[in-house]
Amino acid sequence: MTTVALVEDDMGVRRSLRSLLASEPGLACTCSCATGEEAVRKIPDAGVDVVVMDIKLPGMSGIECARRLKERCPDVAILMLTVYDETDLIFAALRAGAGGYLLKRAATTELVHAIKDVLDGGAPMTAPVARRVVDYLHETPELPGPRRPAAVQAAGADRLTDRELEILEHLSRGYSNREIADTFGISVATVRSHLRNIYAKLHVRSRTQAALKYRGG
Amino acid sequence: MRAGFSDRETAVHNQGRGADRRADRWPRIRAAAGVWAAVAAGFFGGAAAAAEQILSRQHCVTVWTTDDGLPDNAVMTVARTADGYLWVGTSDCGVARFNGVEFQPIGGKEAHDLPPPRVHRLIRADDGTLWVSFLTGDVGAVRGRTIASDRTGGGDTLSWWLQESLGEHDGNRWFSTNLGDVVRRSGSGDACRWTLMRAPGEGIATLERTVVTGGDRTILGTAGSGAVWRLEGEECRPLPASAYARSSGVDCLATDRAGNVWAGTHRGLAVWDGAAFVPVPEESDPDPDDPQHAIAVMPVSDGGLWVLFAGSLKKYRAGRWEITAGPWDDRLLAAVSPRRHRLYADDRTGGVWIATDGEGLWHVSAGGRIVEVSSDPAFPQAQVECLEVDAEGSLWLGLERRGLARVRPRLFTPPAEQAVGDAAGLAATGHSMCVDTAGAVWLTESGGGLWKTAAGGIERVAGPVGSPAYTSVVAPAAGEGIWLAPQFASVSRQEQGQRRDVLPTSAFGGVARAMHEDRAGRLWIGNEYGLWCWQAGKLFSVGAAAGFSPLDKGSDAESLVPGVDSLADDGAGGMWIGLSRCELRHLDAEGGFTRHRPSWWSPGIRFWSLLSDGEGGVWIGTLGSGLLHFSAGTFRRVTAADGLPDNAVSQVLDDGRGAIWLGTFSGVVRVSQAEIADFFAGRSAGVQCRRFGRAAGLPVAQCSAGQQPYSVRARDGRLWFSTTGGVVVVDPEAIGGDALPPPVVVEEARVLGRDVLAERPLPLALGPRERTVQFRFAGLSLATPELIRYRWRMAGIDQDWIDGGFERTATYNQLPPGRYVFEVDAADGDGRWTGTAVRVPIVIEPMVWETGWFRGLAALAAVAVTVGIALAVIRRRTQRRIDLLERQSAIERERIRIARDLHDDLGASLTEIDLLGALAERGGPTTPEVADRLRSLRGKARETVMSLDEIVWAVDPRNDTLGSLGEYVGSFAQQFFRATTTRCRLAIDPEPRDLPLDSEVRHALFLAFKEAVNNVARHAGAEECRVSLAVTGGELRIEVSDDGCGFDANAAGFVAGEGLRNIRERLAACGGWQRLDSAPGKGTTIALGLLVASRGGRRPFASAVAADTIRGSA
Repeated sequence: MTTVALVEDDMGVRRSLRSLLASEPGLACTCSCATGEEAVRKIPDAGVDVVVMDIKLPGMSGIECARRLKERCPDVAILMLTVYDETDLIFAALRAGAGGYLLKRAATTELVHAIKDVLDGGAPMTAPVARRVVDYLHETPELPGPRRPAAVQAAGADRLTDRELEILEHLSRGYSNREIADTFGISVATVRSHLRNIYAKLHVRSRTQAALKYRGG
Repeated sequence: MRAGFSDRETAVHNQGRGADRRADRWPRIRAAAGVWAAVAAGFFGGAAAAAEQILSRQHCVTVWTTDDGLPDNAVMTVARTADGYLWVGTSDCGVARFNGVEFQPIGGKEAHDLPPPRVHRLIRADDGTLWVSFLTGDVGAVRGRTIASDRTGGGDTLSWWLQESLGEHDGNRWFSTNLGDVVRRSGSGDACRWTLMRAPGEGIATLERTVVTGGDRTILGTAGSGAVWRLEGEECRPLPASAYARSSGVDCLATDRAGNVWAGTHRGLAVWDGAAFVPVPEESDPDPDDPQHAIAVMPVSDGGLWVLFAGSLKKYRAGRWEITAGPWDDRLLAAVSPRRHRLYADDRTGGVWIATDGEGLWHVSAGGRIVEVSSDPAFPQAQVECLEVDAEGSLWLGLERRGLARVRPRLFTPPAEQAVGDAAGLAATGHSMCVDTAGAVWLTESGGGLWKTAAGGIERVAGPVGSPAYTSVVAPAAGEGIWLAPQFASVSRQEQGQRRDVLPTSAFGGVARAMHEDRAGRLWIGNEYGLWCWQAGKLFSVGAAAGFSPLDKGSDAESLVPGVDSLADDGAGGMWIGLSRCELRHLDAEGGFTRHRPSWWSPGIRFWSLLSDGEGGVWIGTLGSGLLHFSAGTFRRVTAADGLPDNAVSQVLDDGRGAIWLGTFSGVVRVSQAEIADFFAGRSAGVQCRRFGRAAGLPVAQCSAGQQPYSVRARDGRLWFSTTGGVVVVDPEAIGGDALPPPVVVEEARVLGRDVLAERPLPLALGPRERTVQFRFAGLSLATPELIRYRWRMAGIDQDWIDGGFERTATYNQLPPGRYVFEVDAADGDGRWTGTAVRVPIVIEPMVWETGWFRGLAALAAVAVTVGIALAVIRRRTQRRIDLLERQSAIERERIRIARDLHDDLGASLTEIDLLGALAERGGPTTPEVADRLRSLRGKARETVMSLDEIVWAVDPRNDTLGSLGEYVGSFAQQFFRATTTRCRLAIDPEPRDLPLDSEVRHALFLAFKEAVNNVARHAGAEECRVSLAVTGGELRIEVSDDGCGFDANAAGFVAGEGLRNIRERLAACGGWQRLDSAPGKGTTIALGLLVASRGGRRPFASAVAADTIRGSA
């Protein structure tokens, strides 16, 4: 049984989504919040597997909430719900630690599928997002100060491997996971695992940058 | 000019004005001056004097009357002050000031309407103050141009009048009165008091009394009947009898230069020694029974005294009797008259002028020669009321009812003519002259007479010789007598009173122009036909054979015969020959001829007169080219441009004292040889000449030019010149040293018709409206005021001196504001400037708008206004732009708000519809129809949401970038093809990401793109669809190509759907294009393109607005 937490400010949509989740075997909505603050309070103790979060929340934004939750519970998978297919928002959500996104209008048919994907390690990226990720991770990270922090330099934790880079390239060209697997002669699971790594690196990079910024570097 | 009286010249002359030159040269100016003078007469009450000029034998007399500006013809008193002005006191019209040309009435400050009081006397005190004594008893002192009243006499005509100044000391001034009393002025300013101290003595004969002051400030006066009183304290005490013990009764008293008091006593001359009168012994033993009664004592400037006795006039000087003047005339005794005070004046050379009562004006020269000046018929007959000799040597006379006269000696006098019986005197024109070996001067005249000097004058020797219409030529003979060559008669030899004809003039053409007998006894004759030589009874024509060559061909000569104008001895046995065509020839002692021409040869120049300079050179006078000098082969000349007064030189003489005298057409000119030498050597830029014209006694300024020579230097050194008005003789020694040029005074500065110089202090401040100034000035030389020239300049306006000639006014119009100094300088008749100009500083105040600060402020204001306008314009423009931008952003915000509201409200509701539909599908059994409908419902809801989403994307201005378009296209394509069997491959490279794209453009492109992918999905049946987006070569290109079945676009039956057409139109409206490339079986490629404009290096952009500008090319 997969436990799902729901963070949605619109009462109607929240009720509908709860019903949808309830009607799905194997999923159980154990937590439901209306604001980001509520979610940050309740969800780490709720011990859920997946969090379905609306990007637009009153008060704390969904992205901020996702970041905090990811800090508290690194293992939880976060699925962002967005009204628009806005690459900016989506990219920001991914950097914050989300594992995937879902258009609200597609929520009914694809919600279950998306949850599954996210649990598996990461929903497939759309081509524009993949492109963004490439640009983000492929560039040399900016030097925030006179010297690059040693930890980051040593770790190179946010550097893409060649394979990951290739996968991202193909994604940006519109290949599906299966097509990528066929192209490289690897299994889809491998592709997924690469994706997971990519997400992680994305997250790391994002976290590092934020940390450096706050540290005043 | 110094007025030197020579001992010989004693007659009276009048002085010419020199105006003849002006008349000749500037007739228009003279006429205009006359008109303006008449107009100006009203202003000043004294017009420019056009005084009467009388020229008599030895003097020039100029008379001014009321016609000439004199206020009143009855001139009672004259005085000349140190500043140069002459003051005239008239009987009925007060005092006037004379500057040489104009009379200016001088009045009291208060008396504007009252008639000016009658003037008795003008007295010049030792300190220079001019006192005026009126017949009303008033006394005034002249201050500037007004008379400050010092004492009001109360209208009582029996009050006393001042007569003479008796000195000043201890703050008191002493005067003698007309009745022989003493009056004392004490105090100063308003607190002065006049105290009368009556002299003792009876009655009527008071006008004979004299009061004098001695060197020790003793005031003595005669009391009549021989007694003398002395002023002690405030009383006039008669002297004790001991004072007369040795002298006897005193008739008159006089003080000489040294301050000694002399007395004319019944026994002759006596001197006051402080206590008594000590008689001065006569040179000869006086007869005790008939002592010489001295009736007048006249001290003169050389320290001597002229004493008038009952029968003689003697001069006592330095302790002895120097001279007895003669010839004695009893009429001189009329100098002393009971009807009036004695009138005499020291002539400043040791002689004295005596004005008798009714018996004329007499002059006694320093040497004792007595002349009755007024006996000359030309002298204006009149009783003399007053006389004074000024520092320039002019005698000023107040004529009774005939005006003011000035008498000056005549430098150039005619030779005295002896009585010639019935025949007329020497003709006025045409005098050829020469000096014979005996030293006599011979003259011919037009009309033919021959004159010769004799015994102090000239006498006629022979009657008309030759044709009465022509002048003869005379030349000295080597022996006694002269040669005479009348025209059209016979050349004759005159000696010892006899004349014998020698040669008919017809032999050489009838007319001789010059003659010369050389040492060899040959008589040379020159005329227009050439040179002739008469020797031993034979006449030869000197021609080429003898070496006297004709003129050169091509010298513009009508004939080649050289016409001879003048001959002169060269002092070395040879002869100079002056030709009439600018050529000089020389005959040396051996008989050889040489010819000389100047480098600037011109055929019109006639070598008119020649004078050997004694050193092998020769002076040449030309008619029109000035004075030439030839020596050592070089010609040099002095012309009017170099300072010569006139270029027409008809006569040349050497005075033997280092000067050359020239007879020119504007008078006789004297130049020093040293000056000419300096000029020729280049050491000076010109020559200073002294010109003598009518003012010096020339009857007519023009010197004659006729047969040579027309001037001679006599043995006694005097120079004879022939003028067109008569012969004149001048003694070069008598021409004294040059006097100082006259002092210049600026008399008036007239602004707006008023004289402001008297009212305002210097510097003269003129207000903003007083821009036109007229300066009136005068050079105060009263000897020859009409010869004074002026030059002036305004420092600040004029660079150089403006030579105004004889003009006495200078006008400056419309002076701009600022500080200036007006300077004026004067030159005397000789052309020498004083060198020190009178300066009048003036300040013209600017109008308000002309001042510096005003202009500065105006400029600043203009700048400020300009800047202000510019700023306002900029601000308005910026404001408009800001408004525009605000409106635009407001519109954008509105757009976003609308879109979001729309989407949020509608979108949320539609999503809910979809959810509810999904729930409905899951919950409970439904009929297939219901399930179908539910599915459709859900589909519709999703489609609608998608459309809304698209609209929001298109509208949101944050998506107006190429990057946004690229991502949207990419995700749309991916999502779209996910639901199909077609693979989607993307090659989206939206660079530059931030290339601005208008909402309209974006939307049009996206719609076209959507249509394209729809077509692919619907018709192509392709396995793969490639979507690419890139900017290359300034063009944005989106391509959708599939590998489907393709179609034949040109096939019949293919009709583009309306939607496609709309899309194409929309795209074209943005400047984009769509191309279809398809072939059956080969797939389809739809390309969309849009030019991305880039203006001038800035970032490229694409917008509907820009599209309009590009559409022309699309």
